Amino acid sequence: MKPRSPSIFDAPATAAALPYPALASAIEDVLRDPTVAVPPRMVLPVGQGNSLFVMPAHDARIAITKIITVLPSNRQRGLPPVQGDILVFDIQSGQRIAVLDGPTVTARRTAAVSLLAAQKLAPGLRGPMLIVGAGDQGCAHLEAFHTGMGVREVWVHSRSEASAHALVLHAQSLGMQAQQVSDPNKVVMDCAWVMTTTPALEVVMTTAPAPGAFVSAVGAFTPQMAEWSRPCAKPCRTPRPWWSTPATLTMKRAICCKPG
Amino acid sequence: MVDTRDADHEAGDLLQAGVNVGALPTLGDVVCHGAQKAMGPKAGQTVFFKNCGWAGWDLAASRCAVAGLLA
Repeated sequence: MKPRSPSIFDAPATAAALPYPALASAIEDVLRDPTVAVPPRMVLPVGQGNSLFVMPAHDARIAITKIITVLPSNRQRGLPPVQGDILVFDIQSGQRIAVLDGPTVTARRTAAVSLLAAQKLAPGLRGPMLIVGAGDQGCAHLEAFHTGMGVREVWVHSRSEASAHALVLHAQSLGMQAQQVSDPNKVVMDCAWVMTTTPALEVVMTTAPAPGAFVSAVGAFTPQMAEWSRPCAKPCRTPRPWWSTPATLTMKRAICCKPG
Repeated sequence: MVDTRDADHEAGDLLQAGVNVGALPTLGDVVCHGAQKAMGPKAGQTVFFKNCGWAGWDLAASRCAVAGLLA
């Protein structure tokens, strides 16, 4: 048996292999698959607010590890804030099957997770979308909700005028109505969908969304980070106990450095 | 709702607001227990979904991408 070389997926090839509705469906399949095992991710602070993420997982057929660096300040230097790869192994032979583009998978799978949550909890929701933060995640959420939920109108806010403008043009190229907004808090009450995809270095949202809206808050991934002010993030009522069900996935222990 | 139980120690927005994150449902609870049908958000209730990230989502993407490459 000859060793095989892994298929290398660059960013466009990775995107082409991951259409949002299929990806949302694959995410649902993973949640239902008892062979899936995912240890806590390792987030290694490497100084100056930057991190190295190492994220392994496996099922009955494949084992993967995502290795990415996250440098929130990179955009100011003209470099991507997320860089790295996902290495995919066949666990029956141990061979490498593929190398996927890390930033593309990260953006698309995160947007597909938001899409799956929306499909389950807000299937009939219609109306404009607000995107706060016009980086890769903002772009992926725009595409996913346009394709998956039929969103046709979007307002975009970003600290970077150029990024917001580029995302507006992209939305228009998809046939959507799109415009920039200078203050997201002024329009949030008019939006059915609110996606916050900022670096979460500071609170940007201080106005609560409209009743019935669907919010996906993506930016903050450590206890110190936040995009939403405290009153906005607080539930109006105590959660009821329907979700106090046993863990559905095997969580294997592993070395874990807690972020921050 | 949160994406996974890892959000219990990662969801900065909710933790800083003093929310008991461990009491919130995960996407897996909703998918695997059909919870949204019986007890999901009622009309007029806002859904706040905190999406922190998880290697399981990268596994899902990998399954999608390599489906045609596995024997």
